[in-house]
Amino acid sequence: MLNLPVRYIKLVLIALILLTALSLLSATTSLLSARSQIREQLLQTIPERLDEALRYSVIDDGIAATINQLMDADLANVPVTSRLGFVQTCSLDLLAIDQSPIQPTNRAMTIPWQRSSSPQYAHFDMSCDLQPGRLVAVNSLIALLAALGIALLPEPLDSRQRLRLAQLVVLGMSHREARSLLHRLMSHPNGQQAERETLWLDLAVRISLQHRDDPAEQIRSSQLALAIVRADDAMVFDHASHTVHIHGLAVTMSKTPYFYFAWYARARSNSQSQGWILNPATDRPMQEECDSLLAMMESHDGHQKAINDLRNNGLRAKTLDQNRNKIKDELNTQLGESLAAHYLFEARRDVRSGRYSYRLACQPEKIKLPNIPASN
Amino acid sequence: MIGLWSNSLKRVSILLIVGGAVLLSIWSVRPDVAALAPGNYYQIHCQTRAVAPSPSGSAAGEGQQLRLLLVTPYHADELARRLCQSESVQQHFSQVEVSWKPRTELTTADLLNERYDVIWNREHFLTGLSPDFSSYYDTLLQFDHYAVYWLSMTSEPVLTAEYFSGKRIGLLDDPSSHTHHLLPLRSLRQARVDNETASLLYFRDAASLYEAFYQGQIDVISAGQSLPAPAPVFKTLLDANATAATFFVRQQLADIRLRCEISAALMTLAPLWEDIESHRSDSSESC
Repeated sequence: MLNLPVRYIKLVLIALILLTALSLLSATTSLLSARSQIREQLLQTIPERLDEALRYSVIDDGIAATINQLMDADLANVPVTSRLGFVQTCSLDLLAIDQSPIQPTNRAMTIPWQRSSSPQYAHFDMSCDLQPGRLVAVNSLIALLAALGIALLPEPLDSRQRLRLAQLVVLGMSHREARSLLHRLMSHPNGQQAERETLWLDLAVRISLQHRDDPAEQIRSSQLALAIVRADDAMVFDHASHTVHIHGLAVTMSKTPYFYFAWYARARSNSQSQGWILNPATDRPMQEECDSLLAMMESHDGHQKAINDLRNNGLRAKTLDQNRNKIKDELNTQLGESLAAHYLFEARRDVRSGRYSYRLACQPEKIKLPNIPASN
Repeated sequence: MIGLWSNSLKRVSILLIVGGAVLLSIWSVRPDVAALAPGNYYQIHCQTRAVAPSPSGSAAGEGQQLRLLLVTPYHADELARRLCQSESVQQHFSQVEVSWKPRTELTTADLLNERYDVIWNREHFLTGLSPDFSSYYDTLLQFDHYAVYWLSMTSEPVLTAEYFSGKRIGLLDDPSSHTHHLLPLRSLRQARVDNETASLLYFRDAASLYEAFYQGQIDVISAGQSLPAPAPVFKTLLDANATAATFFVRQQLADIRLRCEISAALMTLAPLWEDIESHRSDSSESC
């Protein structure tokens, strides 16, 4: 959002620079073109006209001035049409007819002609009526269009991004999709999230490179890699198969750690005390707080021994720690430590009791739990 | 393709866009100059003073032009000014045109249609264009025969093949010119000078012929008595009876006073016939 005004200022600046350059350029070329066209025409007609007029002149004084007047009156108004009427009329003024080819002024136009055997030169001064308003109007439009075109050009990728793009394409993604995915990554307002997505991409590439010797397996790996890259950053819990789908990657665990994981996820997702669950004291197991865990295990075919232990002894600190560690091990194995950290636990210490609270590091809106029938 | 999108490609695209904008900009203001049709610069006009219509109704004819055709632009502007100020001319005409159209461009149609009120030319030339020319044009001002000379800056010309041998002779490239073309060529033939004995150099106009002569680029030229010479010149008579051009006037322009005023105005050109006697025609003798 912040870079939008900067972009507009850039656009306006480009348009202004273009407008100035285009106006100067087109005005100059327009005048030069009018000038060369007029010169071309004068070259074809004036030598003959001057010859007719001066052929029988024996003494030139007086007649030169007369011819000058005649020619000035004749060429005072040369109509010019241009598509947008920038130049409308040009006017020629005969300065002199002499034997010197040197132009008296910058604006002068010299038409050489032959009088008998001696070369002569007619020097004209040319001026044109201009309509600068039209020139600026037309060039403003063109400059604006060009500036828009330039502003709309996509940003080029750097070499690292091009490598990523190539990797995505190798995974089987279309250029367009890969490009838009990369664009989404690059323009992610949250730097942490962008970094996480990059880690996922690295993981996907690693997965796609597994089983290079088994074609069938390799196809599966590629499909999985593609699924990971395309998936939303979410944790989807499936109680029936005790599997968490993290960013499209299925992580299947033993029943008990899985339900503990889901229990923490539910707490985070419900936002009760912001997802924090205080570890029970070593000598006082948790009783009521773990009802929901118990209910989940019972209704989804949990491990009977773990259910009995929980029902009879309550939730002991040791059990809780053990299961968190199992979850941590599993995720670290599958995702790698740096990526797993985003989906594991964060801890904080309760100052009064000296005990630790834990919750999932993942944002609650990214956690998707199956709808549990109301337990009684 | 998107994978190839790089900084250099982006730069090329920007260049293409800017280039396109430049082309479009230049294209959109490109001027188109209308075909120039320069007029003739061998004629000048002036308006006669606007005269209020008199009760008798003899007002200046609307849009009527008095047209004169001369053989040289010499003092043409002054002649036009004098005519425009003349009372008789003002009575009959609203505009005066003085032309020095190249005589080679005068056509039979110009004569038949009586395009010019006054024509200055040799009678035989005009009769050649239109044999019954004298039935609709009168003589206004005619001249005695005049003398034409061979001129040289270095030695007195002699009418012999020996003299002209190896000389550069300047002529006008205009068969209608007596002084500078017909008479000298005839004289050379009489002296049995051919193209191998002397080199004949042709000039397009008299001014350049004279200039070449003065600068020593040619040795001999022919000229009338009145040639303005900046240096002493050796002269030998070539022809004592050259025919001069005559001023003719349309018969329809019968008003004696008008003819008188035109004749008077033509005296502006008198330096051109400095040593030749001029005669007004019978009809205007009573001026």
